[in-house]
Amino acid sequence: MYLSVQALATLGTVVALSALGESRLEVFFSLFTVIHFASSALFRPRRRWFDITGGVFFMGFCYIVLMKVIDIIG
Amino acid sequence: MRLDLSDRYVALGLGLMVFGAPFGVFSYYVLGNVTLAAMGMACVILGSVFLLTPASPVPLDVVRSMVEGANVNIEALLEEFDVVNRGVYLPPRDGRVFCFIPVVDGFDVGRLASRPLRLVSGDGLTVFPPGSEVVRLAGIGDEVGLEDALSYVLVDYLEAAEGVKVVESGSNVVVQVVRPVVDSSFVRVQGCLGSTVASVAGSVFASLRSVPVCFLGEESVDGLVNLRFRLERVGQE
Repeated sequence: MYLSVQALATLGTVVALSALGESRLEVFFSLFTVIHFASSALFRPRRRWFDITGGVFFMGFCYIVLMKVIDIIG
Repeated sequence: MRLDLSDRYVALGLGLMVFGAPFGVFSYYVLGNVTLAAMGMACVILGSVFLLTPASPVPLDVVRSMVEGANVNIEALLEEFDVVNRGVYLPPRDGRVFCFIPVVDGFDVGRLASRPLRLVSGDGLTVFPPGSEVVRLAGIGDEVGLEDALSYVLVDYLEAAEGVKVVESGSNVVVQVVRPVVDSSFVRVQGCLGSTVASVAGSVFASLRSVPVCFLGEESVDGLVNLRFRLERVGQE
């Protein structure tokens, strides 16, 4: 159920954002981050190891936010 | 983490990652198509999620049932020998914590850890509580505090309780377990070793501190279980 929901949500996000003409990759990444953490919080799946995907999402999200902040300040 | 390629999730995850990574990079840098690049990124993400998710996780209820079922043999043993005294959790031997339950009073707790391991002796019984296997499999480190270790084992590893607090005062340790979900219906086991969470707590403390841990008692009040232990400070021989 967890995998199905995450896969469908991710695919739906790609389709929806493409239909809206979104051309920024960081928007896709941000929404994928939200989908991953929301589905993990809802289903609390068992994992073989640490949530590496979540860690990468978190670091990537921090990087995107940092770039935006630098843009605003600059 | 070991990956079994015959596992369908592993095969699917690897396939998605192997396809998605070059596809996404090619789409973004060569084709200049953000949609296809996002699809490639999504494939990598879903592939990693598939890799991390086991195909057949053991249901939590099964794990809990096995832990509680381990009490059956202990209850039978305690009833056979009519043992009613509180047990002492002893530091691990061969990686397993064991519990000595005295049948006579006035035994020397300090010598318990070094005495030969005999299941039945003139002054008590030695049993391997359910908590000993849990502690061994959880793999807690040596440099962890009591509360952190017990919280990890009970809340994260076993999901047997919602929270744990540990207070040390000298050699006395009081543990408050918030809403435990595993329990034992065996009267003698509860009296001698404590409930399942008490057994796990005693095993964790004996394993971490490498000293005998006397189980003093437990009380349940409104979803909270208070456990009392005493860590025996054993002198060097």
